[in-house]
Amino acid sequence: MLRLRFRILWHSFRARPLPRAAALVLAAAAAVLVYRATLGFLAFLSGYPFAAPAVEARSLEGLFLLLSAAVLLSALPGALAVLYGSPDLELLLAWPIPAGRVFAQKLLETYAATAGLPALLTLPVLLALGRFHRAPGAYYPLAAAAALLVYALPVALGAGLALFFLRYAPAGRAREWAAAGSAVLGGALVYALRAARPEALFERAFQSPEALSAFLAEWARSGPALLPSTWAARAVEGGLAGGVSPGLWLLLALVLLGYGGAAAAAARAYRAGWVRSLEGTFVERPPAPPARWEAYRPMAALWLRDLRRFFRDPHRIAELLLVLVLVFLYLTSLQAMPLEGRLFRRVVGFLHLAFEGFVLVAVGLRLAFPLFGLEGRGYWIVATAPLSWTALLGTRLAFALALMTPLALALGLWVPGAVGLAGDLLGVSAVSALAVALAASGLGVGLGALWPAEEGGRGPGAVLGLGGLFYMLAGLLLAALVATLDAYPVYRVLSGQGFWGTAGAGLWLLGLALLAGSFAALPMFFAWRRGPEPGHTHVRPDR
Amino acid sequence: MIRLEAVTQRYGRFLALDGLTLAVAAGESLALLGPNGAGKTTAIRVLTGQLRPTGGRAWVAGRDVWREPIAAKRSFGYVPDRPYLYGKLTAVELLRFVAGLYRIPKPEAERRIEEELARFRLTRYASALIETYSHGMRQKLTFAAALLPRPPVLIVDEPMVGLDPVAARTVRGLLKDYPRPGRAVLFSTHQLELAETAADRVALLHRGRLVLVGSPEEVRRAHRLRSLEEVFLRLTEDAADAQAQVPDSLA
Repeated sequence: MLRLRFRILWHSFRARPLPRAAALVLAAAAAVLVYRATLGFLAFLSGYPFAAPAVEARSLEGLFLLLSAAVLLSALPGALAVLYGSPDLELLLAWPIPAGRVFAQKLLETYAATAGLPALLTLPVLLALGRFHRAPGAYYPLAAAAALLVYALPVALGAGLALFFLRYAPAGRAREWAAAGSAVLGGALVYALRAARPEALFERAFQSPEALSAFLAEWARSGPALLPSTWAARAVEGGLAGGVSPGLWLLLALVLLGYGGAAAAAARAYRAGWVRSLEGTFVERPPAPPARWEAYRPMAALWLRDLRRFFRDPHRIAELLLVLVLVFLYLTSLQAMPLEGRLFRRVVGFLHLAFEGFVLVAVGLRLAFPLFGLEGRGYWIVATAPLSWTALLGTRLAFALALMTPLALALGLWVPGAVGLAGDLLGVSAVSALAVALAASGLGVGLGALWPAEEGGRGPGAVLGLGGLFYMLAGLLLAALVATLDAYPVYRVLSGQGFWGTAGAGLWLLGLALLAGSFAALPMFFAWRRGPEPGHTHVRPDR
Repeated sequence: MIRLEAVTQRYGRFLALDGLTLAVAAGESLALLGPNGAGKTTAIRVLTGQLRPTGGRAWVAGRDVWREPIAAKRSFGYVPDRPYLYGKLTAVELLRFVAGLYRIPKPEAERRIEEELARFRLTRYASALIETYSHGMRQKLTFAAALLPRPPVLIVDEPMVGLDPVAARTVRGLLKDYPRPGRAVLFSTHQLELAETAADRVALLHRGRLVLVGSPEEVRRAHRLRSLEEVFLRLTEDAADAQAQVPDSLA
């Protein structure tokens, strides 16, 4: 079966070699970037030899923990979609193959879909760590095994949780319940991060270098001993020292136990008919009278359709909730920082200015980029209706702006206000956030129309596609350029000169408008020029 | 009402349609026949503005589908072979959305929606989410959506897939009666019986080319065979045999 999967992958690569090869090249470039960034970080740390080992160890644990949490969040809906909802499941189970083997294969597919990207992102980090410390040859397979194993556990846990939703969710509602469960889990993880109060580190005063060294030594080993992320980090450290840590064996045993148990339970649950909760039920509901806001004109009808589909899709709601939780986390973290003095507040304010662009661009990948892909396989309805391509693109852009603008206002006005940043920089922050929101919306919708995200950009599909990668690269560039432009008003304000009302402010506004306008307009123009080609149908043209 | 003129469609090196010329007059129903991969769905996708042809032109109700897309699309209703609909909308919401796309005024839209739901026996489930619908119910809803604007042309790709006997009878009657007066229907099917009973003319496509066109009676008589099925088998198998013999003859 594994060979069959690889053959399918190979055929899909051969069917569209250029885009796939380009995506591979971009992924390789991202891996090189991560590798170099890790080397740079390690070189920087080596300048502080008293703190380097502790920071290194905790950073590695933190990385494993953070990515494991991300895997757990996507493993729950991923397991429902792959483990129980794969279209080939019925066929595979009808073949003379043991059901346990079929579900073990499906569990591996769930791993690839949900943990594949975090695992691939971790490998360059571990490679850089090994190269920097001149690790022995055995380190590399050991470290890779630790990374692959540590992400396998949340997948097994997600598959187990999915089973719970399959059993107890009402018929046809398992996906919705799982998405809500994911959002609650995300919120809980965020709360756990806040509850740890990382800002307490800033508040400690050390009387002597010895006290600092003792604290660092204690801090380096204070990772929760029962967390698999800690075992994986210790296994990597053990590999660097040329040994095999017991944590690795523990991880291996847990993964084998978890996978075996999850596959057996899935096979049993499927055959017991629990999967019924994924399917719909016939409900008699006679036609409801039209709502007061019902639209009988094309543009308004498109808007209403989008709103209904967006807010009835649990995946979208879960993503929106997560975005809100993350903004809340960002705000409370900034508020919790001990900002003493007006100058320090301004510095943090500038850091926020630089950061808000990256946040908005990242959110745009989940909200604006998939908007065209949302048409999905129902694209034929609008493609064969008397609706112009311009109207379709325009409504997508307007919808993206409607989602991004409130977030831009929250980040641009509310957050700086909450950290006590007022005056000229508050206006700069708001204008910059709105400009990035506009640019990210145009960029997302334009690239999304050129390379529609599979199935509406759910799961890792949006990120792995060529359009998603282009969006990320262009988005990073946009955020970096906006941060560079913002350096001018910050310089003026920090040096005690006013900003608004000067000629420089006019030039800054012009530069920002040109930058945001070109990032929004160019992809939209290319998408408009390309027109409604068959690539958007999501259905390969049959003969 | 429907005209394809020298339409060619290539997918890389594969030639899906090879200079197809075909017309359907007002008051006529034409069945597009052909084995799998003959080019039926491609021809329909070109005609409905989903696929830009490599060569040739397509008209619906006198409008070029690729030069005047909005006007052309206003004049046909389309039912695809795979009825993918928006699962998170209810049937009645989908029909109101279609009414909006075609700018049908509210009172008229509501009256027609009621009629179509009743015609396809969907009234009882009209406010249930489409994701809970069976394949056959989705197919019926797709028909209702296609007929809502009362288009002069109806284009249907594989109409009978997943329909229950009652809906199948409704659709058979629709394909037969809809063209009269002054309207046209083009449908593709693998069911030769349906083509014989519902179509005024049949067109057989094979390997992207038009092999024959005429009324079922004319076709049977011309080939001196008793049924359309025999004609179909002879023409497609002969062509396949001829193709298979090429390497031998070359050898």
